[in-house]
Amino acid sequence: MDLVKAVQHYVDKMINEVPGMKALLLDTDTTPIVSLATTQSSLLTKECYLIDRVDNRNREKMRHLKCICFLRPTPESLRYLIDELREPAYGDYYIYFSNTLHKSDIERLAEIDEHEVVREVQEYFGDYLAINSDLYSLGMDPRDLFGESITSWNTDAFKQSVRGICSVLLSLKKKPVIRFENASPMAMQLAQEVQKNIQREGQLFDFRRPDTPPVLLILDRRNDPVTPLLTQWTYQAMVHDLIGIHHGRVDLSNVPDVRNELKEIVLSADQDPFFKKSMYLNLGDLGATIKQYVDEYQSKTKSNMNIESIADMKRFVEEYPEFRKLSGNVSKHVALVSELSRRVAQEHLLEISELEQGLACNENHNNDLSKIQKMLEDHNISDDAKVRLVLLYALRYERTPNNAIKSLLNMLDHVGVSEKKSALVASILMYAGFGQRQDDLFSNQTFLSRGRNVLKGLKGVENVYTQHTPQLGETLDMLINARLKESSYPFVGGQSPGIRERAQDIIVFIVGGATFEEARYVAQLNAGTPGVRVVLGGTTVHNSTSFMQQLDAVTQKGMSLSSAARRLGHQ
Amino acid sequence: MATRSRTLLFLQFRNSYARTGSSNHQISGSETQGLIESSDSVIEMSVLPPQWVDIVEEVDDTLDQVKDKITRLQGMHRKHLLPGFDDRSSDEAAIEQLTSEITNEFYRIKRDIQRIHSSNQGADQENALARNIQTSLATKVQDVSTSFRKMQSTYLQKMQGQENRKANILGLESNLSNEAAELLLDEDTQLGFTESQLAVIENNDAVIDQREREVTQIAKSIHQLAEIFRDLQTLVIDQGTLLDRIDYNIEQTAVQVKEATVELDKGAHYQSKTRKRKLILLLILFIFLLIMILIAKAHKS
Repeated sequence: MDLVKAVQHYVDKMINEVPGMKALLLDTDTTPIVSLATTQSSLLTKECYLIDRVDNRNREKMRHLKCICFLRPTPESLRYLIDELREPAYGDYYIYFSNTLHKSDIERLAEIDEHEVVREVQEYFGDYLAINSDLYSLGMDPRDLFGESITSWNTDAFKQSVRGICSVLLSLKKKPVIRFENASPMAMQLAQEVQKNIQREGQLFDFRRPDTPPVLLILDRRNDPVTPLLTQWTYQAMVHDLIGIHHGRVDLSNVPDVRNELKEIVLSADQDPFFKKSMYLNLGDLGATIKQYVDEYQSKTKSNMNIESIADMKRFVEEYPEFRKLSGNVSKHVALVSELSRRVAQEHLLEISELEQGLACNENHNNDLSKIQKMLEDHNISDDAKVRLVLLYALRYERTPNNAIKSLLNMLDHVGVSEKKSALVASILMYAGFGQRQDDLFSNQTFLSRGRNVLKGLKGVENVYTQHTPQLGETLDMLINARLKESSYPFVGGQSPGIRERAQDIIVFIVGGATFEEARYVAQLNAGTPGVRVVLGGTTVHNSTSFMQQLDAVTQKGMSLSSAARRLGHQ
Repeated sequence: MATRSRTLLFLQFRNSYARTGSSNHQISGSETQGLIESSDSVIEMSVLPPQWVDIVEEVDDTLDQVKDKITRLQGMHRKHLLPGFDDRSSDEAAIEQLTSEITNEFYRIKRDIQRIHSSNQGADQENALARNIQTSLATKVQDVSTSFRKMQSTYLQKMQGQENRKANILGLESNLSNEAAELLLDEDTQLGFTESQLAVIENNDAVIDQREREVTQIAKSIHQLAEIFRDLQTLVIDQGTLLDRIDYNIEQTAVQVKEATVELDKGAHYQSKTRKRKLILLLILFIFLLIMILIAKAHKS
């Protein structure tokens, strides 16, 4: 159940199966997939000397090379491939598709292959971005998720989601039972289509059956709109929230006085042991760890500084590559962490985060309201942060009688936040308001959950800034202990396996995007619960910015919605 | 990690197409077709692999040989480090020779790698290919040479360890003999060293000299390797950096290609401009000529 290993296995297999000098052709979709799994130097050691895009038509003829194509079977890629096969630039072609291929497409390729250059046509199901070993993303644009309404799919996004989930299942060799969130029509539609697909490709999904069947759990972001809005404090999540991680790359070119070679850096748990160790640490612990790392580096430089004898020199040359690697890595992480702490201070994230966590975890209307009002008037706080606070307020106190959503919206207008941004407040209630959610997100609906919440409060919190646990946590705990209600998370086609068993292998897919906070929860769950393996994924991996883009798409959908927002804003 | 092969299906389809295709061919073109297809359609010049492809194979072969030799050398080292009483100067000579052979081969590989470059300056992709091959070979050589150097240095350490131990033992002996010598000196100061003592000292000196030579020999080879290493290091990609990302490299080539097309456009633009200028110049000359003719005619009349 290691997603990165699975994709790596596919890439290695296709490279190793072809002997001799070779070129690798990728398309726009598979380039990030391969980039996340392997590196240029590792491909080079396997005699894969040329890596290019299939849509680059300026390739020179090199018949002495063999060509490996790894493509997603989209109409575009197929068209480029057909162009390529009409005038083959390389000697032999080994074609690998990242998903299932239609028979008619195979036929078309066969028809076009007049030069008989194609040696292999295979399907290797690495059709997702493997971000961590237990986190995958389908890398979809959050703006293109919805179709006609905000409860229906965009056709392309739907197809890609079905195929993406199937490829995850196939690459992990799982034939799961599927459960979905009952209140979400999108989750239901997706679950049913995945089930149909599994049945249609029965031979492919013919795996050895384990004692307890794996579970595919399809959730919807609208059940927990709070998590992607919170300021994050753990390393990976924080980098994504404040700067943004795109396919494992972080763009630091906007950071003041950054060195040239650090303008863009790579964060990969697979290739960077320090990041693997520290990706789930919060900023405080991270500071201590990075101090240790720098000390280690310092002691090594010291031992490298005094080169006096041949023996010293010899030792230096021996350790030189590792030393270089270490020095590059140290400066990378130091630059990144110092940028993070700069942003924390500059944007007053500590104060904001305290309030956000309060809104997410505890009910205290008057206190929260006065704090938000104070924050909204503060000039040092960014517009986005202000909107986020109002969004959280609106979600928590949506059903509180005489809540102050309208007055807060007026205030947003007053302090100069654009209408486009303040319209998100209405959108989020539309998208993920009380009526759209099925679980008791704020634990304030029944007497019992209120009591539990109070108890939790009495225990006290370790860290004010990380007291929030995502809703996913509770859902997974219930699923693992076989207590997840069938009424709210039914099986597809009512195919209940009868005996109540504890789930062992769980594949989660969140329609509308997962977050790194949830990924961290899953990683800790995996580490702490023997016998349980969970992988998490979604249409994308959100930070607050991308989630607000998704909300913006909600605003755009249907004029009635936005006019409602305006009415709400101007009353 | 399920996979599914569609090759059989593909081949079935292709065969069915090929059959219909070739039968068509026979009907339409069998009479006009030559016995040998015209050669230019079979051999395109660009299809021939660049010359340095042979170098790559050579380097790979040499590297394999070097690996063999290194394992052999390791065996010899081990044997040589075992304590023994027989004369082993032949062993030492063999070790020395093998070491220098390996070092020389590393040198040759390095030269070969640096020889790889595209002869065709215009071909971007071929350049990229050549660069990638250099990187890949350099990485491989670095790995082997690192292991070789590690081996050498452990051998060196062990040798020196032996030496030290010997020195300690000898030191004890010499202390003793010093005392004895002092005693002797006390007794007959005039005599100095005896013949046999001198012989022992000379012998010791010779052994020490030889050891020292060996040690410097190895140190030299390590030093040479360090140089090679430094030269090749510029070619190797640092792991974990952006340069090691596949998508980054693809983007870079795309950017380069774009820049190249821009340059080409510019060139074409300049060229068309000069053509225009030439035309204008020609026309002016022509007009000038006509005017001259006109003037000449006016003169005549």
